[in-house]
Amino acid sequence: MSDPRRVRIFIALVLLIFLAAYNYLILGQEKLLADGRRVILRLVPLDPRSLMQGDYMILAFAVERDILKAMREQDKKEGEEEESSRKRRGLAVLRLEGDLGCFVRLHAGEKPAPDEILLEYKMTGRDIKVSGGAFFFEEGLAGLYSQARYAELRVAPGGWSLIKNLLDQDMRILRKEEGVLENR
Amino acid sequence: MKNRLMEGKNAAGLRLIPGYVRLPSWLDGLFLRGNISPEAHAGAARAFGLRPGPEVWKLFMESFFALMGTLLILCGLIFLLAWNWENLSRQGKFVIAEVLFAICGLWACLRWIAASPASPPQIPSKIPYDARLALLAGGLLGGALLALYGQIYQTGGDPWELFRAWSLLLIFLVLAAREALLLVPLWIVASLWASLYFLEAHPDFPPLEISLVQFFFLILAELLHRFTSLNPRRVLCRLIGGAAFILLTAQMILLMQMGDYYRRPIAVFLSPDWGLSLYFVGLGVALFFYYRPRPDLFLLACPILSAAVYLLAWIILNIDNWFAGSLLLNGLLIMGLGLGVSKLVLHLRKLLRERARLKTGVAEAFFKAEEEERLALSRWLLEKEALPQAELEDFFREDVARLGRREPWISKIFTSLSAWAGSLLLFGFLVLILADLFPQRQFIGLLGLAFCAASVPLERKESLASRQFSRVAALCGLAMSCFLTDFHEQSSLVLLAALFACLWISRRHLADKSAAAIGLLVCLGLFLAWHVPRDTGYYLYNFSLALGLLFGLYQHGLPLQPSGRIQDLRRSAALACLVFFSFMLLAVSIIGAIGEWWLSWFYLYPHALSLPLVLLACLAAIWRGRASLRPLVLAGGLVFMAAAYFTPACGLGMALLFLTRAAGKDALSGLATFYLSLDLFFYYYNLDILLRDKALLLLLCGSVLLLAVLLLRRLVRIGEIHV
Repeated sequence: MSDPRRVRIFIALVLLIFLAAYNYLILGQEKLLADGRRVILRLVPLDPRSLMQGDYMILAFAVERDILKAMREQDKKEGEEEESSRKRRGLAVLRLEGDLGCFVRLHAGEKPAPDEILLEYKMTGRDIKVSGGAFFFEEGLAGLYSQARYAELRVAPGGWSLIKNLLDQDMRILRKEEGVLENR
Repeated sequence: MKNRLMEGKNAAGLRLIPGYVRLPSWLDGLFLRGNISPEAHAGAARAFGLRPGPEVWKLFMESFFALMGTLLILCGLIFLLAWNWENLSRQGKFVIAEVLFAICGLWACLRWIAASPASPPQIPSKIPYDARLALLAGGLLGGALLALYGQIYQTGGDPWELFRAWSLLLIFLVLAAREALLLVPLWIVASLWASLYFLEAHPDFPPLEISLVQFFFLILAELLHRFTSLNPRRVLCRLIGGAAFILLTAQMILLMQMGDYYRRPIAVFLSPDWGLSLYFVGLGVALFFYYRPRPDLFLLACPILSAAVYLLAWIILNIDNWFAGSLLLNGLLIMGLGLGVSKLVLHLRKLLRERARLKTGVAEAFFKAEEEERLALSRWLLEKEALPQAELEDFFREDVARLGRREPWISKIFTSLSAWAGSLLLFGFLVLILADLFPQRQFIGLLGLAFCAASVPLERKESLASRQFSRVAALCGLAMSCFLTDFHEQSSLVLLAALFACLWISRRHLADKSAAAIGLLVCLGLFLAWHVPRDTGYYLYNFSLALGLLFGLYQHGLPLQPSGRIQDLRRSAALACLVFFSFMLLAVSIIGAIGEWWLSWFYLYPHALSLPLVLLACLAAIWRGRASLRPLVLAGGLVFMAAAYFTPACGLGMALLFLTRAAGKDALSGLATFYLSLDLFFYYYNLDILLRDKALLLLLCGSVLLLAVLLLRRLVRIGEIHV
């Protein structure tokens, strides 16, 4: 067996490196939430069972369907038969109307226009996923969050995004304390 | 061998249980053959400590309550934290998790000091258990931290990415600490990483890749064992090997069943014919490796079973016309294959045993212990004039002739496991066959009652065969009579009568007249359970069954381990996971192959899974004539059938836990613990009350149990405890 004193140092090093990397990641995400571009995306209802599951909510965005449709059209145009040839990750170009993002096209490397923004998506099986696919909330608040019609995202310039809040049909933030907050 | 023999001595001057190698089976054998009276049987059981006295029960209850109470309180605290979780800020959540992680790391680092000095150098230094446990907890908390990150930020990352990061942390920890304890979570986490990745990359065809990954892990574990000081436990290799062979078998069956659709994705590097050839070559290599260079009966049995299951699936899939009795035909096929496989495995066991004997002194120690026991038992029986000397000598002569050579502990465990799994599942299988032939549940129920009734006069016969048959009939009858009733129906009275009859039948076998009273107690509990609101009834039902079993065990006087040490549970947990998941996976693959998806999971799951194992095990049990296990089978079968049919797993889990603890079977009690934990977890997870109430409920229950420990220690004094 190795010298226990040296082993202790190795263990401490591994754990410290892990913690350091972990906190670096947390800082990155916090920075994105604070400084990222605010984009609002329209939600589409999933089937009723998966819309509400206990204390979290499965989300589906309207833009995901647009992306999938655009990909199919692109496949048809290029004569591709196999879905497997599609990239696992890609970028979509959205036009911002206020903060509301609307799908324009799939990104092909061009520079987006000033009112456009890039949003990263990825393929999961045969579906498209944008940002996180779920929103967690305190148990017992299912009624409040079932009013959600939009999601507020923070998007980095490279297209990476995080969900920050859920909004109702008048784009007001849904929160526990006040029930519904005024749009800011 | 050494571990099996405890240091203490009992009143009869022999080692305390579970150190006996043959004595309990001799005693039961003498009783079942009618050589000794029930009174003599009970007296000998008491004298040799086979029947637990009040002091042993007290110790068992104390340790069990203490363990459960502590666990419940810990869970309650976690639930309490969860209740307040959403009120914490993001930073607050991270701080809590990271502080816990840091404490574990710090604890491991501070305590990572060799317990014994490194001199003389040939004695390896020992790291304290708490330090190793803290490191393990740190490794596991690393995963929790990653999950927390994913949950809070909803990054949309794939689950396999989390497991990849977690695996990397564990790999580095293993490398840094050279700690074999971490290899088990590493294997699980890395397997999940690979499985989730392949499920996403090839959603239609994951088992091949996943099984290949398992074989890679198996080779890696064997290499680590051979060439490094990081010596993985044997049980880990068995876990990995079991998983690999199960997955590979499932894959081969899928390949056979689904034809071209499933062949296509692997055609890139493997044609189906080559795949089949490689499969059998691989089985051959595994057989050679685990027979010659690294003998291991479990890992030898895996390829044999794999081939048998493959062959079985091939035959079943090639039966063109399905008809009413097809399940019966399948049953006969399985019996034939099971017989062949069991014969082969038993033969291999004998060969391995003889080879091991030549190398070590195990046999000598075993024979010495056995001789000691034989002399002590003979002395006691002759002193008490329980039977004539000539009869006793005949018995031992027959015993030697029947068993041939003696078996080491590993084969005893194998036989016990086989007996358990086999017997319990065989009865389920019998009911399935009958259900297939006679779909009307009332008919089956009435037939069951007839079985029960027929078993009563048979029980009175002197011949051993009649008595054995009567018990089988009673058990089958009891299981089948469950079809008569439903949870709230008045006809449950009929079932109660059947239960009572069965317990009355077992009265003689239990060698105790109070068995009828126990039966009454159970029946009363069950009766109440059926006539109160459903939720309350659920608890009462499970409680009654567990209580009945507990008292049944007490009356029967099976060996009860006095220690409820955590180490015992820890040691068995890993094997328990293997057994549980193996059964699940094998079940899914076989059910998939047969194509019986329409049967509901709750019905099919306990009955149809791992059928070849069932027959193999059952035949092994009957072959070895483990008479001592029959009442367990009777009781276990009763609970198994009732619990599987009416309710989810809680009653079964409790019953298994008590039965296996009482029988001193570590592996099976681990399985029961795991099963029960899983069931309780899902139950509480889905329980539709506030987290706060859940937390309070758990804290309250835990406190009551700890209070019970205190009362047991302070108030109940039962002589001096001889352990």
